[in-house]
Amino acid sequence: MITLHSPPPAQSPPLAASARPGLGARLLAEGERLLAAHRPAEALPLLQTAAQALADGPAWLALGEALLQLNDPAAALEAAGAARAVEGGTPAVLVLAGRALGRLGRPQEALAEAAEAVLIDRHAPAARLLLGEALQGCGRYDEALAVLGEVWREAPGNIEAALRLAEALIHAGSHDAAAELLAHMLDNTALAGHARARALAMRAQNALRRGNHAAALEAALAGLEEAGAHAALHSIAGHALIEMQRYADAGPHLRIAHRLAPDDGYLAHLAASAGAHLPERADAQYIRHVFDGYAPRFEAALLSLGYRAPGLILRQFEALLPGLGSECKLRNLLDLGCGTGLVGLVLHDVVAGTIKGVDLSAGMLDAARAKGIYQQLQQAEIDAALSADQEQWHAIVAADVFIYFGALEATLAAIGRRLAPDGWLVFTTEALDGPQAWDLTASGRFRHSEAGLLQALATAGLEPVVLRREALRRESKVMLDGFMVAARRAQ
Amino acid sequence: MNLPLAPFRLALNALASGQTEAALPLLHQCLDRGEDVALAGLNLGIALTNLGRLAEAGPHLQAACMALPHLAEPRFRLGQIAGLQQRIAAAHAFFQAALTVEPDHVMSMAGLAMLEEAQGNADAALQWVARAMLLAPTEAGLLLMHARLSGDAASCRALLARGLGGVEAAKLASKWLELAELRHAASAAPMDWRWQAALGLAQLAADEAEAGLATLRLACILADEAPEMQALLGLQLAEQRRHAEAEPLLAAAIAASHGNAELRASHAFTLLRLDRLAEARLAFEAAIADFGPQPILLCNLALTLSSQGLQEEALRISPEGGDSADILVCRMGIQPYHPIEGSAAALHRTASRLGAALPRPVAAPHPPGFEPERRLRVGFLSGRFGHHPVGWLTLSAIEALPAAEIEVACYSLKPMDDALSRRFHARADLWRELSPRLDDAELAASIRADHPDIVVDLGGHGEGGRVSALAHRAAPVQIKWVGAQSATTGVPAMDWMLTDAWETPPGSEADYTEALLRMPDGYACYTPPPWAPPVGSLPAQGRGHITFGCFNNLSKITPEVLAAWGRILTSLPRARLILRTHALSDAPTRSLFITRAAAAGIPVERLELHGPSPHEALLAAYNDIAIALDPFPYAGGLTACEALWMGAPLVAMAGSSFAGRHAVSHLNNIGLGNWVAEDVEGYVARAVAAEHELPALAELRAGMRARMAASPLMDAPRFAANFTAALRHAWRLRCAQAQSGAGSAR
Repeated sequence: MITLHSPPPAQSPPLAASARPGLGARLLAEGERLLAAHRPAEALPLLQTAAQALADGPAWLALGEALLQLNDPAAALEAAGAARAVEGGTPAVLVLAGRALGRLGRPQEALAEAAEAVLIDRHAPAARLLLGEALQGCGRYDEALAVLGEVWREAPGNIEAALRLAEALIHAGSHDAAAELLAHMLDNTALAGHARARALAMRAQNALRRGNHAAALEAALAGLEEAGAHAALHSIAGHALIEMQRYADAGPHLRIAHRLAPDDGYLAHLAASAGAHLPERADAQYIRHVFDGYAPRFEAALLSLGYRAPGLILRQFEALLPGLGSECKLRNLLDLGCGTGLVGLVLHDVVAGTIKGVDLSAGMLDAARAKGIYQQLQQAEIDAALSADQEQWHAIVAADVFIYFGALEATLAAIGRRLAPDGWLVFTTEALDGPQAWDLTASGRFRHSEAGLLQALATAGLEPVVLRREALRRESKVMLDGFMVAARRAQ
Repeated sequence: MNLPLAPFRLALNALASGQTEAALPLLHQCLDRGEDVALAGLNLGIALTNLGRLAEAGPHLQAACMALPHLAEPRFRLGQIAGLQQRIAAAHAFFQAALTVEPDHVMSMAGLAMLEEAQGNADAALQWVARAMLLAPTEAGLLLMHARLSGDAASCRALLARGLGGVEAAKLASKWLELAELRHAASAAPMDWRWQAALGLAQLAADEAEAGLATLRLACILADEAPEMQALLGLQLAEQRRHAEAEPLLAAAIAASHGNAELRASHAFTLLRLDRLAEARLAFEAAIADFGPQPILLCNLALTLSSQGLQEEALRISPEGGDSADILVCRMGIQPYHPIEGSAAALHRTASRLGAALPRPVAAPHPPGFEPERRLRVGFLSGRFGHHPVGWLTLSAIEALPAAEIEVACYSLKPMDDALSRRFHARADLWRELSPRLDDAELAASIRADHPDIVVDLGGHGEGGRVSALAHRAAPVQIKWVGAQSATTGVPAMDWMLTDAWETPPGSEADYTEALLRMPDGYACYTPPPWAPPVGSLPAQGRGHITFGCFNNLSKITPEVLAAWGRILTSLPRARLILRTHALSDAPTRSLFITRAAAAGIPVERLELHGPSPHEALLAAYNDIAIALDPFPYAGGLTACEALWMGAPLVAMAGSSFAGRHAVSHLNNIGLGNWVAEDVEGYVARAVAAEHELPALAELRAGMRARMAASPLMDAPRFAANFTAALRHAWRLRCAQAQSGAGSAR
């Protein structure tokens, strides 16, 4: 089609925002309209420009909300900071900051923001929901239940409050109460769409957490029947089947869950361990998810499994450095994947200087911090932490960490670069008998073969001094076989 | 005391201050009074042109040419109108005439340049621009045209940097500059709408749909809602089928400037999609009056008329198409509804013309090879993997395909997120979102890259359907299945039509360009929605009269259908008829329909008309319907299944086309073949007889769901086994042909 246009008009729209009264307000209004229509991605540039033009609280808050919805809590936290700078700590600012902190895995700080917001406005539901969520994130389940219970009792029709309460009840181990609440919610036919699917998934999750795997499976399948394909329901069905050791049946559910939520690293890892394809290492999101959920009960669980690695590692150092503790000490210690700090607890008597712990899970780090042993704790992925680290370490430990890594070469090489010339790397892995270097088990963990370990160490320029079989811990009533490895830089 | 200003002076003042509408009566006054006639006529013509009222402007400008033989302006304006109306030779002549009287008339040189450019003569266009630039070296429009014609990215960049060139410059920049440069420029000048517009367009071209729209929204606000930005944003929203958001933007852009045929057509089309059918019709008619009978306008007007139930008028206005594939595709969307031209044979004739207009590429070698018994990768192509007839009629069958034998690949042309789309995702071994912006060859190539063995089309020639793209062949075997499956596709590379013996009885072969791949039961497999309410008791038993219902589109309600319904209602003086469909929410369309119904002999006081309802409410509304009346010659597909699932048996008439036999297939597959009439007499008689069969009807209703659930229409494992066998059959034949050296799949 031909279109003829007259030359463009002589006067064109002005450029400078400062000369344009109302521009910022129009950008903000349109951005807020798009946010309300659940289109945060389309609202984003409008709100970014509005925040620049207006630089006021409402614009920064709306921008922060869009960023949170777009799963960028770090940027949302910055927006909350900008809002705070111009209008101080209003409840809205505090709630935004708290939600962002919660999503960043910083529950203590989220809790502080939420508590302040509630102090200012005792009745604001958003602040109280956040408070409940943050308390739960800090493992303070009773208080979380009290807060969420109160919000829900005041507004029983508040679906978000009811779902959060149910979640808190599940976390607190109040499975009967959770089941009752969810049944009550699901009886209401007005509960529909995504909220209904969430409630159905929680009902199954509740059974799973209670240890009733058959009931969890049944609830998940019933949920799928009712709500159609949802990632969470397939994931729970898969988990229940794994717990029932029906690995072959779990596979399809985990693969479907992964197809429905392709960006979820946790599901990607589980789908991979169910045989879809073999990743080189566990997804960071998977590890964070497993351990954040597990942190409060982690130590008790590990100890109840006869977890031996920390003691084995201490004895290994004692063998490598005769007189350790009495005549000499480790100059410093880097504890990779430190978890709740069990290794630090065992080794701190034999370390003269800094003990640094690195872990992906904020929940785990909180537990390690509580022990008061580590001078530095860093929430990071191990490779990233190593590449940013400048220290020369006398001892680097990785206790049951490489069960989340398939290929080890890159990480071992990075460790070698941070190891002092007389330094020691001591680590454990699960043992694989077979020709290949490593595999991934249905439980989602990697195993390594002796040949594979030797090859990886050599490639990384490390020389094994010890490499022997050790029983690591119990699994399904049998002791799990592993390797204890001690290595130093190749001479 | 001041003398009152003459009307002509007042009109010029109004024009100078941008109040074009206000100038019109003053200029007419001049003409009526015989004052300043020549110049008033010229200005009236210009004003009307600027308001987009091209048809009215023409005569005034013609008169001005005669009255003002020394002026280029009226000739230039006539050239401009002719250009907008695609009358190229006339436009050329007017511009030349303008230059004859005023050799330095820059705008006419620009007009000639545009005509040359539109005809692909870039060098000639550049010569005209160069001549014009000698006279007006700083004119932004000329600089822009020069940049465009010479492919000069640097000039385009310079224009934008100087804040010149408007949307046209942004369009050029989006094509010529790298995305990274545009991102940088836009972030360096965050308040400059031109750079934002260029970035937004480039993002859209790079399939960053959300980001692109977002940036264009920003540009639109930064430009203070300048009409050209509203038009640009509105067109992009319309392209993404976000019609409710697009419509006000397009309307505002058209109100502020006359727009072009494309803009007017897009606006009218959004009105059509918003079910504002009467407004859409007026908008298309006005655009045709202003821009001439351009095919895009005629096709869409035909679609609008068809949506209003005016099948005869729609087909009459729909262009014949010649050898234009686009126009023939449009005709294929209208013709199946026509009482006579909707026959299988007539549709085959149009489809064959379409086929002749499509490319016939040589089949590429198939990398995975032709091994007849191996696991097959089967691709499904659709923009409707979700809540849509395609979803309800294919999902359970695709889910039940044996994973060991069939790998399912979904080629989606539009992301959807609903309960059905999640089930498609759950079953798909491979999922690809393809940009609807890909042209036919690119689309086929994207699918071919995955080396599917078989591609099944689920879109046909319907809106968003891309079966024509398969003319480029995306797989060694190509099959047409559900999704605007109204007739043969005519696409030469479509090897098979998945069908059954009810849809295409023996002897139908001549009406299909595809070979018929007949399923032993039905051609589709129905999944009922989980939210369907329970079937109520027979409404007639409480009321003592029969209530008939039809929830199909008005496009399907022909005068013949109305006449048959009139006879039924006349025979049953207490019976009622309830219609429920989108088009009836449009008040003028509803009035028009009532008039047509009355003319066809329907007692309109017994007619109940409703607009659209949410799906659950629509299904619940069948609890007021004792018997559903199927339309003809285009029968209900999903609508028939839904009526049956809600317990209402269906009176249907067998047509000849695929669309005309959907209900024949469904009814026979659930053992209700006796509800299919062969002619109008039988159709009327079947409906009228119902009044004397109320107990049997109640029993049928109560058992309908169990009957359906047990039937092949809903037996997904059975369907999937047969479907797998059909796919395997087609594949084995293809393998055998490959071995014997033949190129085609059949």
